Amino acid sequence: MPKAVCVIKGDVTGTVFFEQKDNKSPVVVTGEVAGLKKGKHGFHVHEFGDNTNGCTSAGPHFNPKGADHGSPDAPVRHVGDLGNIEASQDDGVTKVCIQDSLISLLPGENSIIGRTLVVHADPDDMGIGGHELSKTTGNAGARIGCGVIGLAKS
Amino acid sequence: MIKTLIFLASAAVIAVAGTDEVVNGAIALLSGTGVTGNVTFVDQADGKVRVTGRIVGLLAGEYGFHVHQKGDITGGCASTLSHFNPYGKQHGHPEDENRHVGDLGNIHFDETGTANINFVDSMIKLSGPSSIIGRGLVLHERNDDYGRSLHPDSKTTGNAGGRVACGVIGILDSRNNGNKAASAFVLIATLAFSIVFSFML
Repeated sequence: MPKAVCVIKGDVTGTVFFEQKDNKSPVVVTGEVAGLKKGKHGFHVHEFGDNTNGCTSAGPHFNPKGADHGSPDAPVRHVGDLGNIEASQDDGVTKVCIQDSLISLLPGENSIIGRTLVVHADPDDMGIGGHELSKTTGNAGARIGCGVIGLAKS
Repeated sequence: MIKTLIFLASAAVIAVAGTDEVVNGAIALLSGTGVTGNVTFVDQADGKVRVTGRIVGLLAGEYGFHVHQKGDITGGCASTLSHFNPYGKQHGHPEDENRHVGDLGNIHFDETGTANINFVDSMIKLSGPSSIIGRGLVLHERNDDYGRSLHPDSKTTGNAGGRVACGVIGILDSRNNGNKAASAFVLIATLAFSIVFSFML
């Protein structure tokens, strides 16, 4: 079974695992992120696996089709739009538990291997917040942790 | 009307080229205790990959430098597992036919503790079965003997010892490498030509 993993570093830290049974199956995303402030935090795959200048060098959301930003279950979204993760308290450990049918671990247009997973400071408004950044970033604010998504032992 | 059509057509060409998703560059940020650096991989026109970069933090000498199977650093560099070897070969020198795809040989650190890297490799790729994207780049504590010593680890690891730094190889923004500069030139030339041409009509 294809598997991938991402070690998140920055103001927040964590490890996130990805698993996909085959190319018709969704990717199951699990893991933990420590150090978040209470509330929702945008959680996205960004285009580049470049962290040489911090999380900034990861570029914009991974968006091979040139779509508007949206919620994970919206018909129009970036491939990298995984929505939010929610911390129930300040500085605790937040569990990640997401299933997504658009991202892929297998070779192809939607593959997230070698790209960057980013955790944001603010909630992702899913493109409907009415802010000028809603349709591009979900207005999720600064990038407070990130890591390159690498292949893991199957 | 014709002017408008030509202008729209060239704009469409530019829009399509702008979303080109072909991966032709990769980058790894290496980190270890006292050792840091960046290494960039860029596809060349001849199908080989140019490897460039700078790593600092080791004493002068030669150190084994390999692409390992996994881009997993959850348990430190050990989680990257063994050398990337999709064709089941023996460990070897980068110029050997019988080598792991990940065998990039040694890199040299000078007296200032700096390695300036610039070489071309014919085996690693940025797509397909030999793709290094999402795998681990590892710097070792000793020199790689290229599989040519009698040490029991020579034919598997080059007896390069422990792992002093590593990183996950990620996709590089293609605007950051030469290929994109070349295609940007073509785009600008196309745009200039189409504007001039549409005014001539």
